[in-house]
Amino acid sequence: MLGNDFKMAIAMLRSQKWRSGLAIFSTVVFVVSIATIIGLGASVKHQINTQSKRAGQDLVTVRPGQPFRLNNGQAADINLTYGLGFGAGSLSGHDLKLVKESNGVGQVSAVNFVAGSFKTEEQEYLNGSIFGVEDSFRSLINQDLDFGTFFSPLDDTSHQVVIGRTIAEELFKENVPLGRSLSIRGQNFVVKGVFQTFQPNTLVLGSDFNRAIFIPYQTSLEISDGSNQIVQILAKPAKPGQSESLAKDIKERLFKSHFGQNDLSVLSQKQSAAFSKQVVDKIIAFIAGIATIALLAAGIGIMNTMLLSVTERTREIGIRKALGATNRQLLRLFWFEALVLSVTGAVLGIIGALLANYFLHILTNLKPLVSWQALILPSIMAIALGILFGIIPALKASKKDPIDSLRHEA
Amino acid sequence: MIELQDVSKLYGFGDATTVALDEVNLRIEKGEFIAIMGPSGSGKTTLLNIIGLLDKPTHGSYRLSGRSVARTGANQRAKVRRDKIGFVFQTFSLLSRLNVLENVALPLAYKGVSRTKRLKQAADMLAEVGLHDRQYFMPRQLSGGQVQRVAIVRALINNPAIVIADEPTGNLDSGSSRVVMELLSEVHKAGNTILMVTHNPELTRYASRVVYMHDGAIVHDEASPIGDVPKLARKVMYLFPRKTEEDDFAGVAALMQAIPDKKTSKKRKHKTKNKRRGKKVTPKRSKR
Ligand SMILES: Nc1ncnc2c1ncn2[C@@H]1O[C@H](COP(=O)(O)OP(=O)(O)OP(=O)(O)O)[C@@H](O)[C@H]1O
Ligand SMILES: [Mg+2]
Repeated sequence: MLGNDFKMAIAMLRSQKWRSGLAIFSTVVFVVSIATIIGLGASVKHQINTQSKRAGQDLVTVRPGQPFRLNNGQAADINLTYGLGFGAGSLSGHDLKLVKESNGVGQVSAVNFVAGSFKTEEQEYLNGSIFGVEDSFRSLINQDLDFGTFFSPLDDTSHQVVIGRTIAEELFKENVPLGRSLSIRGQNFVVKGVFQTFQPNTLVLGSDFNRAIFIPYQTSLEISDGSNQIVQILAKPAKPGQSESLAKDIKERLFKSHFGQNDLSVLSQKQSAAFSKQVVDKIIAFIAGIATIALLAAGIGIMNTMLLSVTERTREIGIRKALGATNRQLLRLFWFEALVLSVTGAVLGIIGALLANYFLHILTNLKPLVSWQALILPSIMAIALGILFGIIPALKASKKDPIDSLRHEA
Repeated sequence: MIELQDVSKLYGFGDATTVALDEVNLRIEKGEFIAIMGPSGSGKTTLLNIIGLLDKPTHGSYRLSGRSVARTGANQRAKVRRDKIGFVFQTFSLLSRLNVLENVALPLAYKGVSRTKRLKQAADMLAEVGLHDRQYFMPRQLSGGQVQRVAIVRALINNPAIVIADEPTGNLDSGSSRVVMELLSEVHKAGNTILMVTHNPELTRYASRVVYMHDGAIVHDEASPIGDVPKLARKVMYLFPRKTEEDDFAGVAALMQAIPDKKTSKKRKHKTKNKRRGKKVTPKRSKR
């Protein structure tokens, strides 16, 4: 009996290719989008974890503004570990001084944003960023150089620059542009080192360190006429494992100096990672919520297909009833067809999600981690929806009056 | 075997009530081949639907194989249809998405017979009527006559108490009609009971009994030796030799004029009652 139902369902799908195809397509769209969103989320969290580990557990970051406020719509606030938040004001030199004076503090570096572009004699580079950082910056973020060396304490006012990988390739068009020079605001800087490629940071907008150049902090103050724009202060405790208490002390000092205003945030590495993950979860939930519309479309598509099918097959229903099919047998037949639609959609959706995953990996620097849960969850939802929305047309078919149905032509 | 007592069927209510069947009494014994004739709208299909348990009578009782079935529930009726009734329709009798073999086996599927078993049984039955070479054809690949023959085979697969055929040759040319009627005739000779509606007096020659209906009532009922067109039908036939469909209808109309009016006719076991329940004769549907 089930085999027969299955055969009928397949015959139905094939005789109504377009309509069934559309119903299946909307299911596929739903499964693929949800699986991909979950996969991207998982990948971002994975990056947070690895970056958190790379930078060491002890990093404390001070940023202007309150990060992780989703409801005010500031996407730039979504900072991952040491990503930079623009547009939320900046920190002052006094803040930096307070951080350096805090109890148990070890290395500290300001990250000062310098507005403007830079150029060589041949070319101007427009979509890069310039940061003034202190000599401890490299070890604070635990990022190695491919070539050359980072600044030493002696370089504090020198006109030297350490550049990101992409700058080396795009501006200097060579792998090791050490000793070559570029100019910022009319001043000449000599390339001292080239950073290793920074790991892609999916959600950090406008802070691709591979497209950034770094100059000594003091120099950065000089060339911007003393007006600094510190977007972040990084600090580590002198003794490992003391980051929580360091963060607490820094927070108290800054809070006092800002007259109790809550206009900045101090986060230990752990808090930072935890917050970031929360934000990612919220974003995933938000996008998934939107994708639920696709789910509804899929359900309505299946229902619509089945309703049309029931109407078109009125005569068939009449004949089946005359031959002795009970209402329940007819219900099962049509319900099963809806189920076949949604299961087909789910299966194709899984295949589609795997393909999307594959192409995202090879064509973009997004690396979604599509787990089997990410595939199964939307598939089950789609199938459940097919069952739910399929029962309405099936009930309609089973309740049809045999005589009225038989009077229907063809 | 089939016993209808004072069966009425009314449609609508109030002023718009239509009396499709008016206190019909009918007994059908096993092995009979009954042809029902009568003008369009006289209630032939309604009578068949009630006997076939597709419809419920408004009044009256219906006993099938000794069991009262007039007011059983939908589920039970479906099962009785499956086990005791075989249907042949005028058109589109087969499911277009199933092949001949699957169509014939379908009633067995609703009984729960396994696929291999029922396909085997269907194949055997098709072979008996010489249609085994068509078993994997789809319905659209068959001629009209072949479709009807397959439908007859399907109607027989559950070994029903009665085969009900509403104008089974209504859409066929005279050649195909003959082939289909020959099959029905064989089915009858094998001991099956058949109830058939026809507009063609010629076909009453296959029947053992002819029932004439008018305005929802049986107005005449005569035994007819097989091979003969009964008296009343013959009268019409000779008056209006059948050439076209219009002639056919004219023939039916003449037939109705030729038979006695239903109020004064002596009907078998039918006490003529004159209460007519505000009968409203709806405009006759013209078929085709
Ligand atoms: N569902 C319905 N609602 C209202 N009236 C109906 C309905 N079905 C049938 N009737 C009426 O019942 C009467 C008998 O109809 P029926 O179909 O039994 O006639 P018939 O003898 O089979 O005619 P034909 O030769 O055209 O097939 C007709 O007057 C018809 O209009
Ligand atoms: Mg009829």
